[in-house]
Amino acid sequence: MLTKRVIVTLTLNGGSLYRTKNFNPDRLYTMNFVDMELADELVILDVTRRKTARRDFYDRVLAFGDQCFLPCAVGGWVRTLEDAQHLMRNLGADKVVINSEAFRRPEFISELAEKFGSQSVVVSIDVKNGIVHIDQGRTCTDHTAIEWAQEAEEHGAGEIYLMDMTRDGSLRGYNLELLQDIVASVKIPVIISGGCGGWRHMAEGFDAGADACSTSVIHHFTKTSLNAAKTYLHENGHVVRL
Amino acid sequence: MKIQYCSKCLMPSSRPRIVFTGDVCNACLWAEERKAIDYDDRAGQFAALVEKHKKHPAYDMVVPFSGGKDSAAIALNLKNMGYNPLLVTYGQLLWTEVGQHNWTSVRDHGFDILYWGVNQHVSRKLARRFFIERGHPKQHYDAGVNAVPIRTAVDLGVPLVVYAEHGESEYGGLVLSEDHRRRRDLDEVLENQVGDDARNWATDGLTEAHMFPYIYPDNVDGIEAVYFSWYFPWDIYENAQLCKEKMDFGQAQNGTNVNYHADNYWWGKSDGSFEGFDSIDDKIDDLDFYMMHIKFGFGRATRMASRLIQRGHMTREQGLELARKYDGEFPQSYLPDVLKYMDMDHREFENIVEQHRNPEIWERTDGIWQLRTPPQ
Repeated sequence: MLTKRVIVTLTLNGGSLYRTKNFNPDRLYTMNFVDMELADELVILDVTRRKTARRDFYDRVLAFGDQCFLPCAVGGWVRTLEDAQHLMRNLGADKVVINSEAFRRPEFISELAEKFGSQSVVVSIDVKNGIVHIDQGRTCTDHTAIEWAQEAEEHGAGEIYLMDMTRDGSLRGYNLELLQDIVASVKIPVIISGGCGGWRHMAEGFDAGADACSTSVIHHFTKTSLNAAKTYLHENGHVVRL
Repeated sequence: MKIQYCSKCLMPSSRPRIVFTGDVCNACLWAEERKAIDYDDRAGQFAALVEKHKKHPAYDMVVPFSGGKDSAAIALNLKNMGYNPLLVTYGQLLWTEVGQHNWTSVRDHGFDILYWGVNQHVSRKLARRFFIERGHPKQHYDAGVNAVPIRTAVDLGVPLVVYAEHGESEYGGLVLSEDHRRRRDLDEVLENQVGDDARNWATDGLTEAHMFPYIYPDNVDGIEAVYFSWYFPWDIYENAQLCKEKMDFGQAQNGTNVNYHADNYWWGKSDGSFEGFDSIDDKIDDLDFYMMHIKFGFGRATRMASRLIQRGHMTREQGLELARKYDGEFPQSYLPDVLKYMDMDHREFENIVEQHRNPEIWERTDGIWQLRTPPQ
């Protein structure tokens, strides 16, 4: 039986680590006390509002690659094959996370899948009231989350990173209904994110069919926290890497 | 990263969630807006609220009472209005002498106080953990001080809980809606002040049962928690004066330059500040404010001066001078007690402080850490 994954998502704003709430960066954190030894995977997202110089973000990703041996998916402002290639070849990313560009040009998914393999392509889907939003949540599309998840899978996505925008930065738990809908509609693994306040929320996410649960709450990134999370999940019958 | 300072007070944009409109922070804008509020009308609304929630035979409301000037002033004001509040204290980690004196003075002035003293073995372990992980040794206090009064309100059947002020409005932050200035939103408090679920802390020999005082009760239907500061004028300096005059409040007398002001207008002094009337109940608070400076780049003096500037008690120039002089003053006075509480030696302490120093805010020049953008 495959283990379920606990994923830590770092949101970087202008190269600085921020908490986001309802998709707005609202609190600066010090990187120094992020300890992810027990996480299974890392997602690093550039949530900077404007596509300005990317250097700060790239520097951060590189620095993380040097000190962190976890599989790492990186995204935010990935618009071209070259962007993805830079992340994977030069900055040590194992996977690339795409969102708006994939929605506008679904063949972008196929291009990436062909070049790097499906397993390296994570399609991130931001959802509000069942509807897909792109451009950091600012543009409302005419697709339901289910429609777009299926289309992304057809184009060769390896994984879905599913986010309920209204729960971003909250501690209320994942949107399980949305998760179940997507899990029932696609065969590829689904990572659920947005709303993880405690370990019981992760257990709920796995029960609802998530392949991985993501948390972006900084207080969950420490060794003690991740250890507590894994112990809780293990004791509640979930197969996790301890 | 770019740090901006409010042109009216001294708050920097590195304060969590603070919102700037042009070069003015939301707390200063709100301080102006406040002036147009009809407080007679608000007082009427408050009276109606108390009437609506009148259920308990003796108590009209629960007032979370830290021992400090703000909650004491609220209690006294409510009493003067003819109400009978039940004060609920969630015990400080390391009471100061002056804090104990003030707490006792309030009780002796004529109030019922429920005191919830928590297991100190648990509290010390959590203080140590949260100082290491979050640079905030009072994280569990923040959880408890929110959970315990609400639990008391539920258990005793006193549906109205009167908190002091909405910090996001008064001191800078994100105001989600107008009603958020009036009504205490549990989600907002947990997300911003606590940051995760206290159940998560049951580890390393601590059980979920140990976390009980820190876990917010589930069955809060019918409970209404509001901010006193929405219904009545709010001025921390006036609160301090009231407590001093009416309830014999003492003040902290720590650090250097205790009598910096010739007239001793800001009486007393705490480490890191120029006054001794705010946050003087817990010895660990001085360290907490020191860490705020390390993490966010603004210190206790900036924080206090900004509040006093917003209420017209000092000019920005005066505040700036005080901030430059006292921000980041080492929390020497109580440090031995605090380190003992956290079971930590000085070397470990220094290492942890440095781990929390944000290099995006600080730079080391000539062997000294300096703010990249000092108050200006």
